[in-house]
Amino acid sequence: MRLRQWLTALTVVLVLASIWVVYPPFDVRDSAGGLVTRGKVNLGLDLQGGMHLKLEVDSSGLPANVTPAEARERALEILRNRIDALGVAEPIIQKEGEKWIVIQLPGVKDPERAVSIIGQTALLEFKMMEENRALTDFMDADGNTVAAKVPPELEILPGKEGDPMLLQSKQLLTGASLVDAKVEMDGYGRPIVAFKLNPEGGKRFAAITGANINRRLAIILDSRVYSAPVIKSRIGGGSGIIEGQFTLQEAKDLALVLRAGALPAPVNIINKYVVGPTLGRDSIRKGKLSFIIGISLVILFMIVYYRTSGVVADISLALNFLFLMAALVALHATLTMPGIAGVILTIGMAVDANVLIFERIREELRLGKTVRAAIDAGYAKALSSIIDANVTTLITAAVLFQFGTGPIKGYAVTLTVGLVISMFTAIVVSKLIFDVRKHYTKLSI
Amino acid sequence: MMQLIRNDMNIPFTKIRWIGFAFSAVLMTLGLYATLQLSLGRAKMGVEFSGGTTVEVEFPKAIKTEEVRNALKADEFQDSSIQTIADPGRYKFMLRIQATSLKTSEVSTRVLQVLQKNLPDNPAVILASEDVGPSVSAHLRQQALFALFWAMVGIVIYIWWRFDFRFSVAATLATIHDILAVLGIMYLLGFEMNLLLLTALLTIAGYSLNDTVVVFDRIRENLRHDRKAEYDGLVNRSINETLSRTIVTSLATMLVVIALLFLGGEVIYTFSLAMTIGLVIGTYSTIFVASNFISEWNARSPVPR
Repeated sequence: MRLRQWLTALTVVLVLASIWVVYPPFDVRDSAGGLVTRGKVNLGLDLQGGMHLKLEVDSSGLPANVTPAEARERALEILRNRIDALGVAEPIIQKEGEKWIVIQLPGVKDPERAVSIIGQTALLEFKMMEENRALTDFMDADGNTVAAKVPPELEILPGKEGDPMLLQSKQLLTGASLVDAKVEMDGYGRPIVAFKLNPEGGKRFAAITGANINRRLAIILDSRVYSAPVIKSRIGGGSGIIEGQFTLQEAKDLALVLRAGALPAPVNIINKYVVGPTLGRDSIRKGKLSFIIGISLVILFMIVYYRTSGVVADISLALNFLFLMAALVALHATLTMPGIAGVILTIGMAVDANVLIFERIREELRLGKTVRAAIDAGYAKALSSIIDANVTTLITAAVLFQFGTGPIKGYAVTLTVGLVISMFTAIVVSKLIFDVRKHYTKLSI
Repeated sequence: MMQLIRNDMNIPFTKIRWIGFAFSAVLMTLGLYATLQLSLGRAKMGVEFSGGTTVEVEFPKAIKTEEVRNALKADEFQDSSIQTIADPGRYKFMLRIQATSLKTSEVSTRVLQVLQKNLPDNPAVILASEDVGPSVSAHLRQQALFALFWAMVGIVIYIWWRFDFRFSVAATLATIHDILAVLGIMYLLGFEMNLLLLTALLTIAGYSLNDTVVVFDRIRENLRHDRKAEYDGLVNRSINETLSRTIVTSLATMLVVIALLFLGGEVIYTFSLAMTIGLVIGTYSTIFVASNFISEWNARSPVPR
């Protein structure tokens, strides 16, 4: 008796807590479509649109004193800076496996721009142009560069338009000495990137420019010569500019990656998954529709088949759904399209426990037991079957969770949580409802 | 009281078991064939397992598959497969691009550029795209095999802990039967092996097993209560006693899965279809395969009771 009161109190508390936790589940918008309250349920990339990237740090060219693990650690930090500057709400940036980095940008507006900002190494270098020798010295008759002819102290890099340029290989200064970069306009209103160096870098910059007056200094980004202005005089104060016929957006993005710093090694994008906002909205709409229709059919079916007892099963079903949504919010789980399928499937499967119980009760009634005894026996005898039945599905859900990439993980989570909750609602809650009446003469089942 | 199955129903399932065995032999052969084709790399696989690019595009105006193909062919995409996505009143296509010389992350971007350039009057919009590099797909293939392996190990351990030797063998066989049957049918229908199909297969394994477990529970219970009864008759009685529950549960789950199949949209269509087939197969194998296997075994070498 005391146990039953405890369970009733627990159920009531859980219901109230769940409503408080979960409301409002999805974004509430006014008639104009403006956001009023943010929904509590965390929607996956496939439902709200966005981009998922998997990067591999190319550790082939790393200096000997840097391990691939350190390079990834550093890359992770820099990517985090760049993405913060990009202004995406709630990005996820994390390591995966031995050498991968996973980035999720939910709701990102311009995936291509994000890819170009994330994917570039952004290694800024300053080198002197070689003006004493001609490019043609290192070319064959067709104008192609012959690598074997280029001595180690020289190198040939493409310019911004792809035209080859002859430089001295010695790296005079890199972007590592940079403390700030921002967009400014030159005298003709064209965007340029102005940078500022740290004190030490500033001193070196002054020394370099002082020693090379009237020669050309190449400004190189990711092995491409952006500009090679002639040094007019020694530049003190540690600041300079990069020009290169940028659009305003390009200049802004360049300033952004320069501020965030260069990646320690190039990264390769090995997996890119983009979902546009249309598909996300479609999926939500279709998920909701199939959910409503599916659940309605089950509810109707239970009432037609089991009458009043079917209503009891439906109530526990409704609570199952409420608790499941609350659990998803509380666990900060992400609802994906397969996750919605998991929720719907759970509802179908959750009926199973009640079906097992009701079929048992019917059998016990046929054996001539009183209604009260039949109900109690039905619950008692069905218990082991119910637990068995759920454990088998839970095993596969657990494996899927381990294995899971984003959407599949969402499915495994909803299925697991849903099944665990269904055991509580189908066994405990429905029994509490049956126990409201002490004496039964007839049972509608 | 409404009953789909009358409580005095007594279909001689054990007597007609050869029909089921023959049908299952066909299904399993089909499934094994599909497995063989998959392992030889001859069956269709999703991009996540094979690497490559898929792009789901929508056009604002009506357009024929041939026009899309020609637009892609006009530039570097000679070899692509194009499927229309059924969605009344909308013009959606799933494009599958075979290996190109482009970098992994650039293929989908380039596809859209090519479509917009060559079909300027009907500008395509990307609904979703996925580019998968070879290292990622190799990793996922390996993980998929691990998942299947560990799911089976988990299930077998559970069954062997819960039941004695013969029941364990029967339940394990029935589970393998269900996975193979669904895989075989999906292969025959021309679906590719992808992550969602794998997810459905694992879910089916768990779900159909739970049906089987309920019947086995009943056989064990009846064996305990009725030590003198003839074995086949007892197994048959157990199947019939649980038949109502088996059918009602499957029906309830079927209702939601059918709703998903028809209304859930293209993203989870493969999953919903595999689940629908799996539910039917799972119910069938519970009634016709698992318990009858026990009967057959007992007929050949009776268990002392």
